[in-house]
Amino acid sequence: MSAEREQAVLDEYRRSIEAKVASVDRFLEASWQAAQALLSGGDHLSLFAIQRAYYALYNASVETAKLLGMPLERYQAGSHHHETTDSIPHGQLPVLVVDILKVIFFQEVASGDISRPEQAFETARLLQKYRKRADYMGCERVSTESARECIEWARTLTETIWGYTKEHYDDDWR
Amino acid sequence: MTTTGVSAQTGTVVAREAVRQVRSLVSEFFSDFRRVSPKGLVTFGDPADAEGADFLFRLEVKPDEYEQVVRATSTLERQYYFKYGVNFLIDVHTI
Repeated sequence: MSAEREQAVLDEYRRSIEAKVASVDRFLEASWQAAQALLSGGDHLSLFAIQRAYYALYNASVETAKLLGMPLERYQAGSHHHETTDSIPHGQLPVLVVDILKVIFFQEVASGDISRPEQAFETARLLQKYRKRADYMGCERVSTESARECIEWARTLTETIWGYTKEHYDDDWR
Repeated sequence: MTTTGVSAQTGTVVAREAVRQVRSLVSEFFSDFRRVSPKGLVTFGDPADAEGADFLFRLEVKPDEYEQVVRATSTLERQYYFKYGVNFLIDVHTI
């Protein structure tokens, strides 16, 4: 392959990655806006507000794994559906989030402080439980105050993960 | 096999032991909630609904207990995952 052709392939690849990052950015912003709009609808919509926050965390985490080169196979639990869609089952999101936090806060974890990964697991699992009920026509109600707190936790965790990813995914090109 | 090395399709003996352990843990953790399920707090869910977790349990609670139990079970699951490496999910429903 000529040097020019090689550069063109690299440029095209870079553009596709940048487009993916931009699409995740747009999705996350829309997710937070949707969550806030649903929150303003009262307690009977709070479950669905959390559902939007959950999917923000889910998609940011799965895209992070791909961009940082973390193999998804170990989270797919042998699920053919998730292998073919390049995604993970929801029950594995807390595990993936823990592993991402271990990368981001490597020094803390190496020194024996795993409080952030532990907190992240619990946040992801909490959101997953609410999301499961929302997805499966659950009639459970969550107070607006509690939902707002969950969404804030989700946003902090998502922005930690996605912020790190945007800073580090393209180190090789700098 | 899952990342924790425990299969959702594991044999009956292991499943029964997991149910026993989780029932014990949940009973201890939610001493105030002993009355909520006629089947003894926790029932063993269909692995197909586990969403990739190692085990699924189903817990039925009253509507006014829902939020508190969802949060507490998430804490329990986190503690169990970091202590034993087992990723189980307690799906909380209201009755």
